[in-house]
Amino acid sequence: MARRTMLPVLGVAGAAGLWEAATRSRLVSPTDVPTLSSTLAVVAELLGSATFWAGAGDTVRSWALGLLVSAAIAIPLGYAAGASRWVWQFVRIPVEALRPIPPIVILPLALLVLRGGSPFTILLIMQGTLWPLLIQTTYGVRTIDAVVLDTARSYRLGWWRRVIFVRLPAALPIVTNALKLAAATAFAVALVAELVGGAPGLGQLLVVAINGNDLPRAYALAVVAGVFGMLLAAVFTLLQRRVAATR
Amino acid sequence: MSRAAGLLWQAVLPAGLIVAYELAAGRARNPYFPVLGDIATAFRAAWLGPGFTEHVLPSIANLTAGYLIGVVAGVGGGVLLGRARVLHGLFAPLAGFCLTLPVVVLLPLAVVALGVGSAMRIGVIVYSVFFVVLVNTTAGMRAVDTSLTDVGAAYRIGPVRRLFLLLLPAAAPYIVAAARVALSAAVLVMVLSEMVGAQHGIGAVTLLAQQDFRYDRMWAGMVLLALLGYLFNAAFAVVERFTVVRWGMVAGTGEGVS
Repeated sequence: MARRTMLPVLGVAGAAGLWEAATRSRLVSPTDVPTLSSTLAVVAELLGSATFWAGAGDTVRSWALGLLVSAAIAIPLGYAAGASRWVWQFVRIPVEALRPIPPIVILPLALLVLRGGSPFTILLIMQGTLWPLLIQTTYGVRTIDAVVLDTARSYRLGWWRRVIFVRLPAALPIVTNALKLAAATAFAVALVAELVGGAPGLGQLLVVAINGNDLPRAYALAVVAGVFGMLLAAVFTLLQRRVAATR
Repeated sequence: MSRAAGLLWQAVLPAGLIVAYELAAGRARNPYFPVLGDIATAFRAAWLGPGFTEHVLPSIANLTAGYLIGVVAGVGGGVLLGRARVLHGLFAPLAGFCLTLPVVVLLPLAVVALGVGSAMRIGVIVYSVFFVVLVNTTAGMRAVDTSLTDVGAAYRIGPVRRLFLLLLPAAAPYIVAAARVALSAAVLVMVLSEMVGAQHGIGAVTLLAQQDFRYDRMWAGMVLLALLGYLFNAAFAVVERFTVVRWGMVAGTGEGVS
């Protein structure tokens, strides 16, 4: 199937050619959009620079910490809310009221109280990822087949065993899917925090490039951020396949 | 539990949180955390009256325009990519890349190319909506059962009717789910687009209030944005119930779980 690999390559090459042609021919002014070739040259330069890797490290660290803290709170709580109606009813109204609030909304306050930096980024990531994770986990735990639960009970599996061997594996696919979505959200929110809130990382490098009127560098950073996002998505897709395969 | 007891039980935590905030704010007198009365006063001053036409309406107009353009274009593009294999091969990888590229990194680039006016704001909202809807519509189109299309072909249903009577309804669950996700994204991007160098709009007023140390006004902005996020989500659920759920295309997601 040569066509399978040929077409995507053609598509990407076509888009790249269009970008280069539009900027070369001055159809799009170079003060608005830099040429592809100059952007790619800066990408190569970035990959060899220490400031870039320090920034990327900052972004990835906030991303990972934010996601971890969210998961550590949301998954046990969502688990409890899925297993017990009482818990769900107790937290329902605040959860449903806080969930649709975009993380950007609490940015001004978080900036004020935490003055940028890592806790600030993590808080914003939590607002973006904690609620969806919690609700998805609740769904996952609740959608377990009643027959399976009854079977476990009739085999006199204790509460702890039911939790670990029956409910947890049943909820796992939905939870991993929610984690995958949360990972993408967390990455975007980390960049927002850096870009608007000035936390250190790729977003801040981008602001510096824009303020210094260095367009090729800004575009190069955007391209690299896109590639990073794709890598993160790929890692979580792999994790999801793994989980699906063990069942 | 009885219904009344259930309602009471549900109200414990939210009521407790509000009372706790009011008491703590009244005692601490921390300017960062004004009492609820002050927030309400600032809310009225900032958003009702002239502020409504100057800041709230433009924000909502940009959001509506960007969202609708993004959804319509995304569904249209998704139909093409989902049904034409060559186009899918050519553009699916690019669309995947654009989907994972957070729109926030494009924002400064869009400001350079388009300025800080409505064109830029609508543009970034369209971007954030378009690719989510495009990729999911494509997936929905490709997941249509072939026996369904075969039956359509056997009955010699024309291409237009096939699209509207067979393909789009079959792909509706994907499209609706994407439209819901895209709405949250659009609200976020709307606020974000107003936080970079603009004077008008809810996001701009909120961020400027923070920089001017007018914290009650900042809180008023946060409350309005939270309300809007909540209302848009609720409005989506209502529209969903009276359209696609009634037509039997998707099961009602029903807010939350209960």
